[in-house]
Amino acid sequence: MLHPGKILIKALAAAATNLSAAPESGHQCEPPVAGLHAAYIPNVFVHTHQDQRVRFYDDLIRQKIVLINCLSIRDEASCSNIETMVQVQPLLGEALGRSVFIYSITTDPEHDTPAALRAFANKYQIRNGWLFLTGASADLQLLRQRLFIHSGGQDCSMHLIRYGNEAVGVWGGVPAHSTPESIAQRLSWIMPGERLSGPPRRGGPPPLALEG
Amino acid sequence: MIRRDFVKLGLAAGASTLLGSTADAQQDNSRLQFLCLPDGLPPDPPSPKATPFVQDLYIPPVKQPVAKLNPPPDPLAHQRYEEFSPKKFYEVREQEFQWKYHPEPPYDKGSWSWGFDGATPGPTYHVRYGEPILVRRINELPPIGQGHVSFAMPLTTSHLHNGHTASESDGYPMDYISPGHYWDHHYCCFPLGNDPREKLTTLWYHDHMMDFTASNVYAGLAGFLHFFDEEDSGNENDPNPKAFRLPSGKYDVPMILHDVRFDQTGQVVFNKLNTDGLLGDMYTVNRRIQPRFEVERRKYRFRILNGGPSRFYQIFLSSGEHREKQHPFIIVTGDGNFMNRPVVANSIYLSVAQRVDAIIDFSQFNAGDKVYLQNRLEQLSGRGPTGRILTDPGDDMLRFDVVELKGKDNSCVPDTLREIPAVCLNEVKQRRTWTFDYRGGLWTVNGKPATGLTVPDAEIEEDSAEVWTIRNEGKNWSHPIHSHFTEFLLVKVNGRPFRATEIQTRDPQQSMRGYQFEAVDEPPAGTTARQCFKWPANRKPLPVFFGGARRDITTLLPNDEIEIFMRWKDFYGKYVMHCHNVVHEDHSMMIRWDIVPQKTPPKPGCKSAVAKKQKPAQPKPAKPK
Repeated sequence: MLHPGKILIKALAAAATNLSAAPESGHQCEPPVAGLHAAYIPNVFVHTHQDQRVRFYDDLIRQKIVLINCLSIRDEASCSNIETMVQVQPLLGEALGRSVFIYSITTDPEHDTPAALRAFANKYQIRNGWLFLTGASADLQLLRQRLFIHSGGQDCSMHLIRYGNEAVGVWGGVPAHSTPESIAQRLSWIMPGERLSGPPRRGGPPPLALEG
Repeated sequence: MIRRDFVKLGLAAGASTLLGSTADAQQDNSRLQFLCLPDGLPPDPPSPKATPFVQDLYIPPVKQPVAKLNPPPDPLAHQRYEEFSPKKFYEVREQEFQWKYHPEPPYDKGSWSWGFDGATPGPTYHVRYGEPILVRRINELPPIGQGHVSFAMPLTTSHLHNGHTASESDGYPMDYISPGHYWDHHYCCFPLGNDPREKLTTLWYHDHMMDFTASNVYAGLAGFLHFFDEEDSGNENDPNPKAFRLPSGKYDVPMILHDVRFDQTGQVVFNKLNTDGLLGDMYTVNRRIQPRFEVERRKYRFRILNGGPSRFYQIFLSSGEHREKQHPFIIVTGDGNFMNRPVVANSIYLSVAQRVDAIIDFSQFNAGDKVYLQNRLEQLSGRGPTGRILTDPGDDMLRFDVVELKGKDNSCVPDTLREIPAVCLNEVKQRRTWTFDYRGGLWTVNGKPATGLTVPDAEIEEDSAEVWTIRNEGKNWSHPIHSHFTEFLLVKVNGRPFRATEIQTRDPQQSMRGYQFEAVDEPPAGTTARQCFKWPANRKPLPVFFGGARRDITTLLPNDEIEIFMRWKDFYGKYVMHCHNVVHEDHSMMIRWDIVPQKTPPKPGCKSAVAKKQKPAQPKPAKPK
């Protein structure tokens, strides 16, 4: 059995070094390189709680390792999701803002203006690397549709957290009600890895007496 | 035009006629149904065309044991290791490679895939009851960011579906290993409670990584494991009077069905951001696009498995230019369980992960005849089939090319197979209800999504039985529900009692429901010796084989409710039940249950529940904790 805590810290430390030099956004002179999900994840403009206007795919997703959830300040259920994510923050350590980013997209853009999101973010003392996002209602709807809604029209944005490494193209989903450790553990799975040298090492099962 | 457009126009039922029903039209792959994306998304371009039936079916090799493992296994890591010390050891490698789905461009360059020992499906294990084995699975996959298959997760855990396996060898979703590591899977190879009626036949192994079962299996991490014993001995010339003598050797053919979608360069496409389920537009059998298989004019045993991820099948055996003639199958197992008697059916319903062993007797055809294995069940989204049956021509998956018999066919389909264990409600310690639904966009069990399986959703006492009600709360989706470790005995289907000697079938005139139940005859009175099976000339084949009383998948179509009886014995530890539309599983439609020591004395059993040939009960297992 792998030990999630140790693996996570190790993986995040390595990733912080590996990815900190990754190109930040499509604001550079050269045309953006299409990522694996460039055609799928909408490149709509969104506003951050820091009052920046950014392109969702080019600036926030491409080449990055991310956690994406949804919120609505007026929805208590989503507040509990944010509280969980607040507890994920310390588990990410130095990686947050360097190799890992958290995005919380509002489902209620009329109420959740950048100013309202800023106040909300301050309340929870969120760190750099975590952005609250609002924007045009239709654009946010499209984002949710691609990431959280499927053909039945049902919206899982309050119950699912997406995690992905778009430098590689690997994506997954974890229920928002999971423990902070489970959510952070997902990030350890999608961190870039190195091939081990030498003969294969024993991964399991562990001796029965030690299993707990 | 794709079939989806016809549906919008309300013309689906006649779609095949509008599309043209000639054999040529059938071979145009663009007309197979393909992936339906969420509303508002343009459809993905269809997979590049590939001429059907130009390549032979791939038959995975039989896995050979090694003399010993280095380093040796750790006996303290396995329940009951000393009692069931392995007689054979296997070493297998999970790898990335280019797999040739088809010889034409762009497929000829190979599609990046994952599999075992450089192939997908992986090798087939031939295992005998009473001969415990240990399989060391070495993860040699490229770590994240180093490989070519981008959608899958190179952390792996192999589940033997539906082996009677100790928890630590069961491929529990969180028992994963990363590249460069191995995990030892110990298979004790005895049936539950050492009851010979609990034996299994056709099993498959597949990856079960948390959140990534669908993508890892789709990438190729799957294969077969077959159990043999004195009866199902794997030898059609076996002189032992107890032997079934089912078709064996090269006449015993595993077939795993996957629908796959490819990009314009022939690489496999998988949308991990889809929660409904994924459909491919190319039918593959053993990971070859629409292959051909040369068959002699004799009996064959086909072990047919729906490998998923989300498509349901209703398979037919058809011939004729317009596939206008249908030919029945003789079915001997459902989900790896022998039925008490063979049944004859015109079609076979397979939800994801379901299996049948079907006998086809090609002596009814002439050399030179072409016969087609088809799917005719319409499915337009990953959420489940519509239930409509496509009229001629249907979708071809494989072509059988009939040739003359090259030797004598000594095989037999016995008229009696294996007794089904009896339901004994006296043994029941607990009743539970599990509802499968969709809440807030997540697939849920009893209203909750799985949250990492950190605590058990149910604790089941070792050496007890329970009755579970499995209910689909949804009107628009289907869920093939699978629970590990032990088989289901169906007690009721939508309120109707299900008897051990019955087969579930369906009114062919009704699309979604209309289940019917047909009794399988008892053997003629006074006969003691096993005879070769003959379906009465005056008896019609069943329209569809939907399963017998014993299964490891309960297919929940919309609003279905199925009551199942199960026994737990021999091991302790943690296991899962989940939807085997593996996209639903990966979006949290999974619960954890644990086998725990008894809290109260076992309930008395029923006389009828004891097998005639049953050996004394096994000694109690050592506790894992």
